[in-house]
Formats: sequence, structure tokens, C-alpha cells
Amino acid sequence: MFIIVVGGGKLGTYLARALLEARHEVVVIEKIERKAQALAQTLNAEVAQVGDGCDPLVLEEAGATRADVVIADTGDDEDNLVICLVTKKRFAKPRTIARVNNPKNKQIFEELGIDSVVSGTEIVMNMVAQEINRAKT
Amino acid sequence: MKYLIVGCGRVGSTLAKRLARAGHDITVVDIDSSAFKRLGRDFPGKMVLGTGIDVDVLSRAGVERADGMAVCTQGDNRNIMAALIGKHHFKVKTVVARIYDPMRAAMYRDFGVLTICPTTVGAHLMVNALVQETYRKLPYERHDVDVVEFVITDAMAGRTVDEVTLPGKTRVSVVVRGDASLIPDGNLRLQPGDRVVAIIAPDAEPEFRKLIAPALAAR
Repeated sequence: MFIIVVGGGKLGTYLARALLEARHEVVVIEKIERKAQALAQTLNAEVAQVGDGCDPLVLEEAGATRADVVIADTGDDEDNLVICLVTKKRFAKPRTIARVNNPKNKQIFEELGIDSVVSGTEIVMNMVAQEINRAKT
Repeated sequence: MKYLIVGCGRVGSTLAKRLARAGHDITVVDIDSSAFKRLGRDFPGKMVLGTGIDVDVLSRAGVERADGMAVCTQGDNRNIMAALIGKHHFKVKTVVARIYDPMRAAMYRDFGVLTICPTTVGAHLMVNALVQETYRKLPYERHDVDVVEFVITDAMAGRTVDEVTLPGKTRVSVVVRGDASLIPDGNLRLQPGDRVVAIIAPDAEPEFRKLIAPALAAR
């Protein structure tokens, strides 16, 4: 599959590495040039692209017209929402996956038609709750 | 009416004060409590501290009972998100958002949010101030109707308002003559130098320009 990841922070870097190891084609769009350079060094030069993933032209340049999936994983929910909405609006093909930092936004994103919404906070909270329950019994 | 304003910057606070002065019930939301100082001491509305992209904050601000919502924080994406939450989650009837990026502003209209793009409006006004054209579009935030202004030349003088109107497609709304703004009927005879403001359907523009061609010629 061809996967575009918007946001090259820690999560984006690990995600891209795992996807590359699983033999997927990956492009990471990162706004901050320094971070994009680091990405190019740790992964490979073709993967990293500097730009604002909210801009349809940047997405197009990254190959959004033929991408199977666009993942928005920046630390700002409003940016992730816009990345996915722009993708849905401009490019017919890719499925959109968004990370939400504030679990309350999960429902909002789903209402607005994002295909898949992942809340890291919620996942960790559930895991912790499970561990606490296990410790109790 | 009850209005919710998200973002208490220069635009948000001015808007809030104007609407409050007109007797409306206003609630302002901002993440920075010092922003509320812009409202002045005697502001009669409610102030709620928090981010406009949080459903609980908007609930606390009474979004469920709001007749309209205006979003004007510093970030385009934050404005888009807050406006979409208001429109689609809370079903607020009228939602308007400020979006600086013209490309995004055009896109979000399709999501049912009214957008005001200060970039486009500002550039438009600057062009109008710099270039004195005989025919120009006035800024108006709708896309199915244009507001235009043209100046009556000697060649056009003596025509009536009806003679510069395409029935059903255009309508003259104001004739500015010297210091006076006249709301004309169809029989008003136009004089050289009159500035005529008309409402026109965008697809009628070529036909309309042809009709008033002598006004557009040499000046």
C-alpha cells in the first residue's frame, strides 16, 4: 500500500519505520525543516517531505491522488481534522485516519466523516484501567 | 438574539461590543483571560475561559441555545474546527468563521460554514482605493449575487434607471449623486458623474456590461 503520514514527530517516525519494514510505500510530510531532515537521516531521503499537510498542493505533491491511506498524526487536533477534511474533499481515493489528542474529539471527527479515529490517550487510559482491575482481583 | 463569539481578539471583542450594544445576549469564549479586558468594564455579556474546540467549553458557553456563532481566533484550523463543531455537532443555525487563507475559505463554504476571508476582502478594498475604475465589484460575501458600481459618463447621461436595468437579472439599488444617496425608481434620469450601485446575477454580467457599455468607455 501507499501511505502518506502527515506529522513527523515521534509517533510519525516510528509509524513510518514500521510501515517501511512491512514493505509499504511511505511519504512523511513534516512542517518543520529540521524535523524533516532528521527523518530523512533516520529513515531514507525519499520518505521525508517538508511542507504543510493542510495545504492541498503539498498533499498532491506527496502523491495523495494515488495514496491508499492518509494518516494525520500531529499533536494538534485542529490540524489533524483539517488534513483529513482536505484529503476527503480533494482526493477521492485515500482512507483517512486521524489521531486525536483530546479523547472528546473522537466523536466529533467521526461525525465529520473521518474514516478512522484513534485516540492515544483513550487507549492508554483503557490499558491502565485494565491493569488496575487485574491488580484488584 | 443569543450569539456566541469564539476568540476575543480585536475582531471578536469589537463584534461582541457591537452586538451587545444592539441589545443581543452575548457570550465570549477565549483561552486567555486577559483578552477579556478588550471588552471593557461595562460589557454586559458573559465571558467563558477555555478553548473553542472543546465541546464542554462550548456547552458551558451555552452553544445549544445560541442563534448564531462567530469564530475568530488566531488560527485558521482552530476556527474551522470550532465552526464545524458548532454547525454539525450542536446544530447552530448560523455559523460564521474568519479564515485568512483564501483557498481554505472557499473550501469550507461547502461544509455549510459561512467564511469571511479578510485577505480577499482587504485586497479587494485596496484595489478599489488604488484604481479608480468605471466599473467595479464591491466586496460582498455571497457567490450567487454580485454588487457592482459604475460611473455615469456624458455618453450615458439622460438615460433612466430602467434603461440600465435587465429585468429579473439586475437591479439598481442606489444612485450616489454628489453627497446624496438616492434610492431611485425606474424613471430617475441619470446625470454625468452619478455613481450607480446595482445588484446583478453573476451570469448576467456580460449582458449587463454590454447594456451599460457607454459608461465603461473612455473616462
